[in-house]
Amino acid sequence: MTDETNDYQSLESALCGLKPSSRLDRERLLFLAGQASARPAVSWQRSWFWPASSGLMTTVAACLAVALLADRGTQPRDIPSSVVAEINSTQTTPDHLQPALVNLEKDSTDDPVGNAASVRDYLENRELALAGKLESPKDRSTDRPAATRSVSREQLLLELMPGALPRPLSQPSGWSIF
Amino acid sequence: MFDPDRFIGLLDRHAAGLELYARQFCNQAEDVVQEAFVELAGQQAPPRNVAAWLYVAVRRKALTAARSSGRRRVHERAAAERTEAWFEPGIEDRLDAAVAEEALAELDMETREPIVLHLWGTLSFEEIAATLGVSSSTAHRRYLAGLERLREKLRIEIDSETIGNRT
Repeated sequence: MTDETNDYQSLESALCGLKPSSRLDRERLLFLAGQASARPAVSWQRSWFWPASSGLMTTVAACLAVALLADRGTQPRDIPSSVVAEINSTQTTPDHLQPALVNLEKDSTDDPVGNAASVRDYLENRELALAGKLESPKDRSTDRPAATRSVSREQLLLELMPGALPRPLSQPSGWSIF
Repeated sequence: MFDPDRFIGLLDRHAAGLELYARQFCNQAEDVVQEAFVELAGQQAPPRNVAAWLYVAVRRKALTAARSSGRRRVHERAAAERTEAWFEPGIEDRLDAAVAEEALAELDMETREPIVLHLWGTLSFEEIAATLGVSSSTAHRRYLAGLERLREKLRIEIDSETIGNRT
């Protein structure tokens, strides 16, 4: 046992006498160490917060874009039932729109906006424009005059200020102010 | 914080042992040791046991380097590999450096690591245990097993030296 221990000690001392070779560039190492010590340490939160935040926002934006595209592809247009009924009565709706309008009529029950005549005018104008027969757009949605109506100055003054014209105006009555 | 004098002292005391330890795993030993020291310099607070910390860092980096060099070797020729001598040849050494290196290299890694860490890294068995992630008794047992195998391989040199000392 003592001989074995002595052998081990002798072996250990012989092995310890061997000097490991070193090829380390000390100057470069000290330079890099000085650089590393001067550099501010980046904490875990600071190093991960912005990349994680950016990734999260990108994912959310991508999900919203996909949801928006899917929604646009499936959502029907909301047309009031009164519009559909009016369109059907005038028989101006093209045949290829009839099934969609019938389906919409089932879902819609009222006309909350009250613009049925406007929609009808739009469809008629559209049909005429597509046929190449439209010279000026029709607007029958209300009783107000069309934007292109010509009004004489006398008529306008009489409408606005009755009795303000003591004598007849000498200007020609066909002036168009619009 | 970074203390240049203390850092140079650590470099003088542990650099060679760390390089030898890194060479057990990879051929880029000096790069690995340099990275470990640079990482140490960048620490806000110094580790409790700096020597053990350095050996753990070198082990981790050397294993990573070995894995990446293993991947590169698929595409490169083995002839291009760089092999450095583990020990400096000395006239007064009781053991021949090349013979000792060969005997040490023939040991399996499990027994070689405690020997390198204890003899050239001057780590205690508790520190070796912490570095390797085993108990200190396991580290000591592996050390003795490796020493026994080295003794068998280097018996001629030891015997002749012992005889030379006795006479």
